[in-house]
Amino acid sequence: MTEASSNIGYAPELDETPPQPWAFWRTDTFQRLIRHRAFMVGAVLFAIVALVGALAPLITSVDPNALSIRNKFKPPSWEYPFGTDNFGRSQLSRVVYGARLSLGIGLGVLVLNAVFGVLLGAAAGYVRKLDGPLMRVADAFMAFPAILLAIGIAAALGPSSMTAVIAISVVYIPRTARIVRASVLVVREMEFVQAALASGATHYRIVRKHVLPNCMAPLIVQLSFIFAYAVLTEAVLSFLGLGAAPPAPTWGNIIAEGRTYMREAEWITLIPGIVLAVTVLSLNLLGDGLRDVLDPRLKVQQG
Amino acid sequence: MTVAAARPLLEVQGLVKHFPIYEGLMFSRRVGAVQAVDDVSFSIQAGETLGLVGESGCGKSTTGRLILRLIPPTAGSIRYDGVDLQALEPEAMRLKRRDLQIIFQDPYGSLNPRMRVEDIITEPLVIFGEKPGPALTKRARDLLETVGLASFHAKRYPHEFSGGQRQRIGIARALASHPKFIVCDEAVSALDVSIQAQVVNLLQDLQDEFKLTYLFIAHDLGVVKHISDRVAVMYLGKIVEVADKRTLYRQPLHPYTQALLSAIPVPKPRARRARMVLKGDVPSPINPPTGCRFHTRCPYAKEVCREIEPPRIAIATGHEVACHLVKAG
Repeated sequence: MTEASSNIGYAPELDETPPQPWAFWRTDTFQRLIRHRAFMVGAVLFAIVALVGALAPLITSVDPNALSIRNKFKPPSWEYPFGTDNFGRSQLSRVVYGARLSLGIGLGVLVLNAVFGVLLGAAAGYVRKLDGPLMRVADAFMAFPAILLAIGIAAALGPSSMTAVIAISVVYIPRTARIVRASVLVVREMEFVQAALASGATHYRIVRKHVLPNCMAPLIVQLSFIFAYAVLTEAVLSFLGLGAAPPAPTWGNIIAEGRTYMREAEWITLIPGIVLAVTVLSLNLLGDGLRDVLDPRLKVQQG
Repeated sequence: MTVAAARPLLEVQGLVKHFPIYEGLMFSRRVGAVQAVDDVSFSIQAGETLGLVGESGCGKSTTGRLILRLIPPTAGSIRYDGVDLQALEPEAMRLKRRDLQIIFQDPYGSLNPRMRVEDIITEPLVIFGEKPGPALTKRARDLLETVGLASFHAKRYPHEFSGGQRQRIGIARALASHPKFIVCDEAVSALDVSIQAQVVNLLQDLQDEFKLTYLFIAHDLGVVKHISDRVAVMYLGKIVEVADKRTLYRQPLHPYTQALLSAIPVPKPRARRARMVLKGDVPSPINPPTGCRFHTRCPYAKEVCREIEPPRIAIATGHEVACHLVKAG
C-alpha cells in the first residue's frame, strides 16, 4: 500500500456500483419535467410550431409571396387549407413561413438576452462598484412600459426585422440582468466561493466556474418567458409597421394586412392570431414547468 | 514543546476587524462599526494545533478568515513564515494560497453542487497550472483514499454524499495543494458526535502524516481539548486567555474560561460540581462595554473592571490572561 492510499480510519459503505455516466435523461430534473403535465403540453405544442417553422419549405411548396389575384379571398378549402388573402397569397404558406420569421426573431432576442443579461448581471452582482450604476440604468429602462419602449427604439432605428430584435432585446435585457444579479448576489456569499478564493482561484475563474453555473435555473426560466414576450412584441411591432417590411410574412404583418377585411374574410386575421396565441401559451406553459422544476423556492407539490 | 526554539510559523499581531454599518440609501453615512475582532495577537509554532474557542459571534471565524486574507483587516499584521501577508500584492498572495488552506463548517455549503468530487478536490491544483489528465485523476483518487473515501467516489456529485463524507471531501480539497497551515473553521461542529470523532481523528492522523499546522476554531471545548496543543479563549473580539491545553483545562484563570469549562457536560449523571452559570447575553459588538469587555457578566467584577481594560499578561511561561483579578507570579 502506498503512503497516499493508507486508508485512515474509515470504511465507506461499499456500494461499488459504478456510477453511470451522466446523461440528461437520467437526471432527476428531467424525470420531474416529463411528469409535469403543463410542461409537456407546452413543450409538445412549441416543438410542433418550431418544427413547422424549421421545415417550412417541406410543408408547403407555395411561395408565401406568390400573388394570384384570381384566387383572392378564398375561404379555407382543400386547395388552400388556411384560405387566401386580398392578393390571393396562400395563407398556409404565409403562416408557416411566419413561424420561421417570428421564432427566428424570438431566438435572436433570447440569445442577445442570454449573453448581455449574463454579462451585465454578473458584473453588477459580483463587482460591488458597478452594482449601483448598472442597476440605476436598468431602473431607467424598466420605468418605461415594455411595448412603448420597444416601439420607440424600433421607430428610431427604422423598421426591419433586425431592428425588432434589437428593440425587443433592449427592453428585456435589464430584466434578465436583474435576475442574474439577484442570483449572483446569493451565490457569491456561499462557502464554496470562499473555498475557491482560498485555493487561489482568480475572480474570472470564480465567476465562470462557481457563480454562474449555480445561477442558471432562474435564468433559464426567465429566458423561456422572454421568448414568449419577444414573439408577442414582435407581432405588435410588425402590426404597427415597425417590424419586418410588409411583404415579409410575419404574423404581425399578416394580421395587420388582414384587419381591413375582418368582416368579409375573418380567416386572414383569425388563423395567424390563433397560431400566435398558441405559441405564446405553449412557451408560458413551458416556462411555468421549468420554474416548478428548476426553482426550488417556488416548488409546488404534485399529486 | 519548546516555545523559544524557532520562529513561529504564523504570527498574528494586533489584528483588528471592524465591519462598518451604513445608514441611508443614497447618501449613506457611517453610523458605527461591528467590532468583530479587536486587537487579537497570537502565534502558532510549526506542527502545532492552536484551538480557538468562544461563544457564537465572538469573532473566531472572522479571525480565521482574516488570516487567510479572505476579508481585509482594519489593522494589524499577519506574518506567515516570516512574510507579512497583508503587504503582499494580490497576485503574490494568490500564489501563497498553496500553503494556506481552510476547512469550512458547513459541509453542504462548502462544495459546489455543480462540480464532480474529483474536480472539487483537484481545483487547487488546476488553479496552479496542473493540466487535467491521468496524473490528476490519480491524485484525486489518492486524496479520496487518504481521507477515508473510496476512489470510485471521484465521479460523483456532492449531493450523493452524507454530511460526514462531504466534510471528508472538503478536507481532501484542503490537502490537495500540500499546504503547511490549515484553518479548521468549526470543521466538525455541523457533524454528529460519532462522525465528529472520526473526522477529528482523521485530522490528527493527517497532521502527523503531512506535518500540518492547524488553527482549530470551535465552540466545543471537548473537541478542542482532544486536538489542540494550546488553546486561546476569545470573548467579544478579544483573546482573554491563552495557555497550553493541560494548564488551561486544569487551572483556568480568567472567569470567562472558568465559566466555559464548567459548562462542559460530564458523562456522570450523579456527579456534583459547582456550575458557574453566566447571566445575560453577550453584549453587542457594535457598542462593547468599557473597560474589561466581560465585566457585565463577570461574577467577580470590581470597579476597576468597568473602567480600565486589562492588559494580557504572562502568568507563567506560555500562560497569558487578561484580567485585573489575576496577578502575575
